[in-house]
Amino acid sequence: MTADTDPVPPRDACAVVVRLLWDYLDGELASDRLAAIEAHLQGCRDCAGHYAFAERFLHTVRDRWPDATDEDEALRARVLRRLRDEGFHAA
Amino acid sequence: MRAERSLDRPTDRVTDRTTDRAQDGPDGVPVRDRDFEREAIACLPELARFARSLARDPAAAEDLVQETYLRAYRGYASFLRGHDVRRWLFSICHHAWLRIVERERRVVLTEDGDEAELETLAAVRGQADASREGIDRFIDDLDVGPAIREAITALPPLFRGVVVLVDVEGLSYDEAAIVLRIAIGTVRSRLFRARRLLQERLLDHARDAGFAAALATRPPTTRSTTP
Repeated sequence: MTADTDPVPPRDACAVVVRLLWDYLDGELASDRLAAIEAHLQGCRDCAGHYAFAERFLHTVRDRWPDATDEDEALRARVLRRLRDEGFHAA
Repeated sequence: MRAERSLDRPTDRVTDRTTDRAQDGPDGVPVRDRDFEREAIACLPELARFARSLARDPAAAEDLVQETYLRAYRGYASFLRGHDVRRWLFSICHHAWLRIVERERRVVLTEDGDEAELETLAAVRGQADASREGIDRFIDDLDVGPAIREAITALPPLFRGVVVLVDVEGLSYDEAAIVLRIAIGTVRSRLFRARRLLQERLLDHARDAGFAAALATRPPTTRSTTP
């Protein structure tokens, strides 16, 4: 199910726009619906606020997702060692 | 909007992998192995991140990464030139994890959300409530790193996996659906529920940190209405 078939209807536009918030931020909407939402956001302070928060939230999740760079180096060595048992030759 | 994706870019590979096992480079290293190291091993940080999102603990995640690379190496001859190595590895990793889950007789496949848009709406309402309490600005003011890690750990593995693929690695819904071998609608429902759960936990973290009290001393700002 993707919500990209119709442009945003004029009635109850806010309700539709907030439901499509994440589809919009993920770039998953068709161009006509994308344009309709962008036009709505230009004139709706409430919806624009919700979108701004959601964008910051997703940015935070992406940036703060835990990485383990030091562990990755050790893991890489162990993977290569295991692959060598399969006949792999590292450069 | 999400940054431009780097998937499905054609590679410059010139090797015919159906016959390259015996072809050695000038340094004696088989061309196939050199390609595998350059293309597949180079994806280890992203693959490890995905495996950690699925596995129950670090040791299980490491086993999953090693299993993935073993399977990938054994099947590398059949990997089609020009396809996305990273997505191929994600797919192998996910299948390996599903086999482990099945082996351990875990029941974890019933956690899909049914109404993706309702999850979005619930998240917006949660943010509107937080806005009225004055805590929705916490993301800019608090060190949310530990809270994010705690919230991620609390997510069911199936949800963590789709968040990693879409939000961290930048795959589209369609690409994530191919990797996970599930319907796009299932990707969307899992993703939206995971985001809503993460957001709720982060807002709870802000409340627990007494952030509302701190903000009460600040000048009031115009806040949005609940949708």
